[in-house]
Amino acid sequence: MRWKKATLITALAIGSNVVQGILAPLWNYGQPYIDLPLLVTILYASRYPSAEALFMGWVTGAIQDLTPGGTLGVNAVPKLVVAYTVLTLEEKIEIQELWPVQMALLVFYATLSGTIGYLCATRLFQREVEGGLFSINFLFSLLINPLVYMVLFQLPLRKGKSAPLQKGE
Amino acid sequence: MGERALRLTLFLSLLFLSLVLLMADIKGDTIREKVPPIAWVTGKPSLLLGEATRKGWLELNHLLESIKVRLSSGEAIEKNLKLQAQLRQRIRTLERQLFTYQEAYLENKRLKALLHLKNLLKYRTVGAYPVGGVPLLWGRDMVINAGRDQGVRKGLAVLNSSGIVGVVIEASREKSTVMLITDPAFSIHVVDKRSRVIGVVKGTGGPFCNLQYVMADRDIIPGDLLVTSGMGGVYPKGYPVGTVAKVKREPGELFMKATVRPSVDFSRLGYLLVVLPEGGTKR
Repeated sequence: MRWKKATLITALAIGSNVVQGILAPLWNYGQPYIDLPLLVTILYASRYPSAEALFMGWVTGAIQDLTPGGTLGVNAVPKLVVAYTVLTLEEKIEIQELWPVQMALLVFYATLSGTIGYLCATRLFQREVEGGLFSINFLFSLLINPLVYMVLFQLPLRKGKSAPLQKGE
Repeated sequence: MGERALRLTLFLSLLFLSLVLLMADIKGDTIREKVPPIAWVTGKPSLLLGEATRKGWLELNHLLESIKVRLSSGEAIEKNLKLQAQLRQRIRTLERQLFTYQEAYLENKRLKALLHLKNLLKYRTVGAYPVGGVPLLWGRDMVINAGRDQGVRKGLAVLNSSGIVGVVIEASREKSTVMLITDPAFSIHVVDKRSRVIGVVKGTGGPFCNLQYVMADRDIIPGDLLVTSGMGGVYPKGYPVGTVAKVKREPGELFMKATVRPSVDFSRLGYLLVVLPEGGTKR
């Protein structure tokens, strides 16, 4: 089953970035409104809470950094941290059993920490980033990401809970 | 190694790797160029797809904008058509008004001319206008809206601002019939205003009249104005009757033959004056 997971990780990492690239022009190209790779990372880490999730999050972020204009690491680190946080939480609570509001808060936190990490990395190395933590783009991201996660992943999965994914599969 | 330790190790390793990459990228190392397959796979397609999406999005925006413009231009056309209809209606109304004003102006002009004429004449007159049998080209008689009640009676002269029109041949209470100077039965004593040669203008039934009883050797030339001589007391003296149009002198003939164009345009008859006899009613 390892090759299946590898394929899934690759597909999710590349696919989420490609879709992100396609959708980016819809909300001012380059602005982090909806961070689809982040959402996919959270989804994967919550569904498959294993060490591969860390790798998946890091690869997804790294690919995001490889897109033109990016800085290597600024997205990879936050996504790695988010994946690690989700895995740590998973050890303590059943993330899949979280209420939608709690899940939304988790995505909110992930987005916030990702944003802070992104800003720290860019500021630390004096890379220019439009706006700041309180810019309308980042604030909008904090709101829209949980909402999109709910709509795309949480609600459909809860609907089809009769056949849930097996943990660690 | 436990799962937790494995995760922590992997996390720290990847974090370290990220920091290394970050440092390297910041310093300007060409890591991207060193991993072109990754950059190509991720960067190019997403860039191209992103560009395509951006273009598609722009096209969609243009389409929506053009639809909006068309809808608004449709509304504008509808408004313009409405406005056009209103303006057409307004133009028709104004044209009618203009026509009325023009008529009033012309009438005013005619009346002024008639008033002027009336003031010039030493005779008492009564105003009238044609109500029937109006000659378009050349007629023989017509009906005017003045009759016995206004003092009009048979044998009175009728004229307008241009000249002699004719003579009343029949008068009822409110209307009268006027014989025009073009009638073959009509004749009037005239004098050439230039040469003072006298003669008689007689109607022919056509648009012109004839000058009769003028000796062939008398000084009459085309263009001479013929005016009333005042003989008989019916017509005021010195009033235009017509202009000599053509003169013909034939050897052996005692009288010349001259054609006279009446001063009055019978196709454009307006207000008229009937010259009343002394003591008649002035209207």
